[in-house]
Amino acid sequence: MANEFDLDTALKIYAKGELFDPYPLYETLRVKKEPYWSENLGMWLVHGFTDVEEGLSDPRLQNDRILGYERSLTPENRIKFKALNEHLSHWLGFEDPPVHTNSRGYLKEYISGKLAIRMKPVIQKQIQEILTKADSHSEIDLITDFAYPLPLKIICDLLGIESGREEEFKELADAIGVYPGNVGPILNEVAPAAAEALVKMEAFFDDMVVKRLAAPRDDLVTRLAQLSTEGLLSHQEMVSLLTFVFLAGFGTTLNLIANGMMLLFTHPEEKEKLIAHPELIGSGVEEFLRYESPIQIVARLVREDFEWHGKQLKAGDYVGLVAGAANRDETIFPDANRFDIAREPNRHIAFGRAAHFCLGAPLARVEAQIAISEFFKKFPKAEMISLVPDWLPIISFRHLGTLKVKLNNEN
Amino acid sequence: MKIEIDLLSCKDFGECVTSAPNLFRLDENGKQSLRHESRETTFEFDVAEEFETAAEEATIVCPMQALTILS
Repeated sequence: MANEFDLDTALKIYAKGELFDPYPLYETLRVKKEPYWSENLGMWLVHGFTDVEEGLSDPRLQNDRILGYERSLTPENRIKFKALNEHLSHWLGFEDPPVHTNSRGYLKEYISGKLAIRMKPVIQKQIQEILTKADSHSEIDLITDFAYPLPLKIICDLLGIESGREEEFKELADAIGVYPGNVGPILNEVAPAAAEALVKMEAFFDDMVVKRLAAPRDDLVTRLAQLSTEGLLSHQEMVSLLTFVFLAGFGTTLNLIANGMMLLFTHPEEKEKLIAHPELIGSGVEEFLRYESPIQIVARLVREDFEWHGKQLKAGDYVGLVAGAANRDETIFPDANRFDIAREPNRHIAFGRAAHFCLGAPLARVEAQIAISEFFKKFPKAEMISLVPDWLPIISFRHLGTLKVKLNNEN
Repeated sequence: MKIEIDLLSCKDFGECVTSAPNLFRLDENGKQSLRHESRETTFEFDVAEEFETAAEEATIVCPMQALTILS
């Protein structure tokens, strides 16, 4: 148990995004059973499973939290990055009902459980290509050679981005994602690159929308473009939803696959269990989601003053619902720090809950299940070379920079 | 196939109705109609083979993770 001094130090490192094992800190704060005000981040942190779950459904905590970003920027940057904040404010993850309900409804027509089931053969085909390419090497980086090519291909396919341009989009998505993924003063540092990348991505989608309107297809881009010409979505809303789908569908799935692989390599007995019992991939993916949740913090903004578990929350306060902590809550998950691919029940909160429950959850699950089972079918003897997980300094995301493995194939 | 719904977790979002209209519906008050089938906090029922894919889809889209495929 950390003493107060340790807690303070841990929180300072945490605020910089550099606390690479946040779980002892989460636990120290969780047992306090009340929202914890982090002066460094300028936000309340909530760690208990029940509280996080409650918070995700509480209408007094709103999703529109651009104010929180603006507040973290210097006055000069607030003006400079106005367009960036305006763009993000139309992402599904920043909207509240009734606008959110409509936007989500439009996306749901194309991104749903049916899509995931329909995409299974496409995912299978893509993963075989990725593995065949990997097989010509003896060592690969699981991030660049395995975990990101699949979700990148799939999301480009969904949005109709022509093949050959995937890499370009990945670079842009990486630069943009760091901005919404952070909180606090660090936003000033990451905003310039994010804004520049966003302008490029917007221009690309603008161009694509014009093409789709001229030659409509049965796809999401055409549908959103039509909604915009019908006046049901503003131009900005339409473009924001497209960049949102790209960002939401790519980085998080990459992290699910990469974190799952890292967990299996660092828990060899669980890896062997999965190889011996491939049917465990379903519960296995749920355990990856719980144990190293790609999205660690779900942020909200307090709509009106209210008392929550003994703390007075004020309108405009920033609240971080720490899903990554909730998923390690001992009172819900027995032996919560034990990684168990057969864990049942496992009602983790990695995809959120309620009205904002991840629309892409079914697709992400299917991608991770297929990718990881096929990898170990092809390379059952693969070993991890990296000794320490290379976590990137982003507070809200659990994102590995590299994950080197030796395939122990014929090469 | 057997499926179980946890009626405490279920918050009547109706996503299951979109995915599997033959298995789920919301009643006139917008509540999960299976609430009328059980006095317990959970309710399990058999799914005909033709609706198994739909049931699987409902399970993966449920925003409260209230559905479980039992067998």
